Amino acid sequence: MLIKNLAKDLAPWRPIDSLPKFFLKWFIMSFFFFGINALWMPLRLDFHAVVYDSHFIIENFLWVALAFTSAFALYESSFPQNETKTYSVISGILFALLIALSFKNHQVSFAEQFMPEMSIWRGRCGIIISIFAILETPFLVIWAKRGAPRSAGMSGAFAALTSASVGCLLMQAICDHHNSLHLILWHFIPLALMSFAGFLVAKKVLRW
Amino acid sequence: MSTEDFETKLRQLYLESMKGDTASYEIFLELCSVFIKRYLMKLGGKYVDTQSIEDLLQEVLITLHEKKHTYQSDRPLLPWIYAIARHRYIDFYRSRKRKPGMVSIDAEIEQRLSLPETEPEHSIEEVMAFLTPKQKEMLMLIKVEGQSYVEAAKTLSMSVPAVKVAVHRIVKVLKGKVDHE
Repeated sequence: MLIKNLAKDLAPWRPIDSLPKFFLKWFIMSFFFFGINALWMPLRLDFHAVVYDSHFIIENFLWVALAFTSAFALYESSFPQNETKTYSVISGILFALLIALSFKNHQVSFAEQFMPEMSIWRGRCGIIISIFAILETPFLVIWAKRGAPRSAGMSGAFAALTSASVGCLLMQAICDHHNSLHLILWHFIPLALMSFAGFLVAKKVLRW
Repeated sequence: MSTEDFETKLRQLYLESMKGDTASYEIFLELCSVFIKRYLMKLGGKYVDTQSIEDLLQEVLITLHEKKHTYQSDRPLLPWIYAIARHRYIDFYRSRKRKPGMVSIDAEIEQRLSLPETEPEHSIEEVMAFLTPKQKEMLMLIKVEGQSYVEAAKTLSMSVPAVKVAVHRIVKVLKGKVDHE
């Protein structure tokens, strides 16, 4: 009886977006948000000098890799038969590498830098990264809702990580405070918090 | 039929269904229901009763229908179906853990039948010892001899509402005593 009813309800359908189509949508969306932010946020003063710096290039490469890995993980996690452990590990390694590089390249005395880092002006990086994640993540979660993720929470975390990573990439071109304390407080922690928030929200939103 | 042949057959039916072929879709779901049921029985083992398996199977079929677009045609079909079935089974298992009071009637009956027969903790004599002679007489007339309230009221020279109230109180007192111990 149920099978007959389901068959009666049948209409031709299109499968979920292919990987290139998903990436195209994500690029367009990211460029849009990237552009809006770049319009009113001035480039860092030393941008022309730093753009040729190998540390800067490597860090940006890692941010791009993190954004791509998490976007790919989000795509793959939307199919019920796919595991996400490998992507979680890769994202974790990239994140750890970025933290390690921030310590290696921009080491400062935490005690000296702590008070200056508590100002609103310095904290704007965290706010911008969070806003970026808050703006873009819902679109990615809506896209993932069409899928059937095995772990809804992980899909949400990947969605937030994708958008927050793009936000961090943007901050690389804008923020000229690059000591390790600043990077941890106002770049890495907001990114981690946004990913955790994505995990919690998606657990409810992406249930199927 | 080997697993590969079965997979090919199912894929073919699925791809035809994608174009809106109702007959193919019906056969696809029929075939799915057979092996999903077997899979659910294997997952549940002896802890899930037949009725729950049937309910679960229906849920899996509905989910397959709702999420049919999540299958990627370049990948194997069977793991996708099993993943959906497994997801629904885990949901079912979690909900049962959250609401331990919700057991199906089959399971409840089976559990009761499997309980060893034991002697009641209180004999009738022990219970009746809590009552006055008039209460004992009233209880014997109504609960043991099976008289109606009207007949018992006539025998005891009481009004019918008074008998009803008295019996209700007696049962309450006895229940309280037994539960307390």
